[in-house]
This record gives sequence, structure tokens and C-alpha cells, in this order.
Amino acid sequence: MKKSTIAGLIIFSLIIAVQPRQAKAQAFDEVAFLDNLSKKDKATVGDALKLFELVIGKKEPLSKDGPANNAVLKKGFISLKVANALNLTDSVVFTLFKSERYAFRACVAHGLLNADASEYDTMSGEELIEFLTLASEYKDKGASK
Amino acid sequence: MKKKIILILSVIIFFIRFALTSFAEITVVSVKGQAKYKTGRQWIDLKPGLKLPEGVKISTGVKSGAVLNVNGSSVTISQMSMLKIEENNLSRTESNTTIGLKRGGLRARVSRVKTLKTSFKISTPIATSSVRGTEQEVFYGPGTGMLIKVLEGEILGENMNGLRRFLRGKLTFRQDNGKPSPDNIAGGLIDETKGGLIGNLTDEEKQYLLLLSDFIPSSPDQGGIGDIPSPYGTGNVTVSPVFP
Repeated sequence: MKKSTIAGLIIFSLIIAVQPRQAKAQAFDEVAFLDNLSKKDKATVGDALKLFELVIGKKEPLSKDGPANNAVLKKGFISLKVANALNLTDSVVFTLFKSERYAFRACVAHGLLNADASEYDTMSGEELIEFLTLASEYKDKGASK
Repeated sequence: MKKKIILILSVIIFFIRFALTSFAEITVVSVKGQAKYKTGRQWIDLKPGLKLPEGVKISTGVKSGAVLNVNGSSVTISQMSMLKIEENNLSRTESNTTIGLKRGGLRARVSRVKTLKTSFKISTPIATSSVRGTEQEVFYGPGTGMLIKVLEGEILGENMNGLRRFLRGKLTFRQDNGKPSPDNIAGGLIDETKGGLIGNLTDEEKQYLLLLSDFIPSSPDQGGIGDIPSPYGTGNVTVSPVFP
């Protein structure tokens, strides 16, 4: 086989190997997603699960008896996901009951959410972004210990 | 004759103005993950070496960031942040930079030239910080409000009501949304000291704390641990233990 043919084959296989990665990286525009989310007065469960997946790196499926993807997000719902993912088990009450109420309180105790609210309150897009930014920092701090 | 003089003066003024403002520069130093700037309605990828105009909007994605060089000062943008370079002028005598932080965090390290009067401000909808020293970290969000940490030198924090706080060392400026005045600048130190106190508890006390941590007051207003006047000298600590 000619040298030029071998070189051509190597270049072709390299292009093929790199292409899927590029496609995957360009598949989701995080900046546009965050820009749209920040304009929402009320974030949805779908928004929260998407951002949770991006930040925590874990896909959370919708449960059959839980809220729908387009339902308005409540602070308790995303608090429970985050408290479980970050393993906020130093609150015994949350460890025992694993409820949205005590997950919300555990997040407040760790400075991830404000105390002047409840688990039933809705969340704006900006609030959701801030909450998961702080959760991400908390997770990274834990990882660096 | 008059027309000639006016024309010559106009040309001179134009060149002086050009010479005074033409050095201002915003350059992208490095990019991590997804970081974009807005032109028109489009978000375009930031790339190292790219020159950005005054008034540019920048946004970063998850686990992403960017470092900018603004007139020789370094601005590190954290993940999921959005900001706008509101003002950026540099002349032979002064340098003025104002960054509007819409959400997220950034770290600014301001370079100082003795012959240059430098003003470097980071503003949010509720407060503004001015770098008097060299380095600061700022975070803004609807729940946290504006939080300024001094990393080096001295910072001036000022809220929309004109209330000012000078910060240095470990002091922090925190302005909550909807509150008329900023929090106690030693707030972070109180938390640190409280952590130290809790660290000295006996095993039985630790178990009790673990069981009831959700219900223990955390601020002096709630009957918790009181003010600590100075981190560097002696001071009075008011402790209000609550026994069941």
C-alpha cells in the first residue's frame, strides 16, 4: 500500500474518532439554556432536573407519582434531590425522614438556601441557578477535602 | 479665517480624545468549558486572544469560566455567571472600569500604576464594590444578595442607600435583597468562631448537637452566639446556652 494511502486512512480515522466528541460537546448550549432560564419568574420541574443533571452529573428520572415535567418547581422538590446528591446527612431529622421539608431545612443549614421561605414556595429561574451554583461549589469543596 | 481655526481646533480635540481613550482594552486570556459573549441577539464562543468592546455581555456555563485582561487587571469569571462591562476607559492619567454583575461570581485582581488614578467597580442591582486595594471576590444572586470578600488590600462596599463599609482582612460585605442596610461585616468571623466553639464540645454534646442541629439558633438575634468585636485582639463573647 502506498504511503499516501496509509496517511489518508490515518487522517480519515482520526476525523471519524474526533467527530462524535465535537457533536456531543455542541449538542447542548448551556449559555442559551441559562439565559432563557434566568428570564423565567417560575422555573419548572423539567428546568430543575436538566440543570441538576448538568451540575451534579446525575440524571434523575421523573417518578410516576411525582410532579410533571412542566409543573411549577417547588423548593422542596429540588432540595430533596440536592440534599440526597450532596449527602447532607449531618441533620439527623433529614437522615431519618428524607422528606422535602427536612431536605429544605438541611439546605438552609448549609447556606444553600435562604431561611425566610418554605419547601412549598416556587422558585424563579435566577433562584434555581443560584441554588445549584452554591450546590456545585459545596460539592467541589467536599471533593477537594 | 474663523472657520479654519474652528476646523483646526476640532481636529486637535478629536486627536486628544482619541489619544486619551484609545488604550482601553478587554482581552480574553483563557476559557474553560462554555463561555460566550453577546453580539446582537447571538451568543458567540469566547476564545483566548479575542478583543472585546466596551458594553459587552459575557455568560458562562456549568463548570465553566473565563479570565479577562481589562486594562492590565485580571477578571476571573466563575461558572453560571453573567456580567456586562459597563464602562472601560483608560487614559494617560486615569483608568475607569465598571463591571455590572447580573448573576454569579467573579474575582478581580486590579493592577495599580502609581501615576494612574484607578477606579475599578463591580456593581449589582443592590450594591457596588470599589477596589481600593488589589484583589476581591464578588458573588451576586437573588437569595444571597451581594457578597464581597477581600482577598488582598481594602475594599469599599456601598449599597443603594449610600451606606458604606470599608473592608479588609477577613471582613465581608453582604447586602441582602430588600434590606435597607448591609449585614454585620464580621458575620463570617462569627461563623468561624462558632465553628471553633462547637469543635470543643464533648462527645455527649456533639450527639445532642447532631440530633437537634435544625433547631439551634444561629444568630445573636435568635439567642445564639453574640458579636465578636475584633479577630486580632481580645473581646467579649456573649454566649446564651439554651438547656432543655
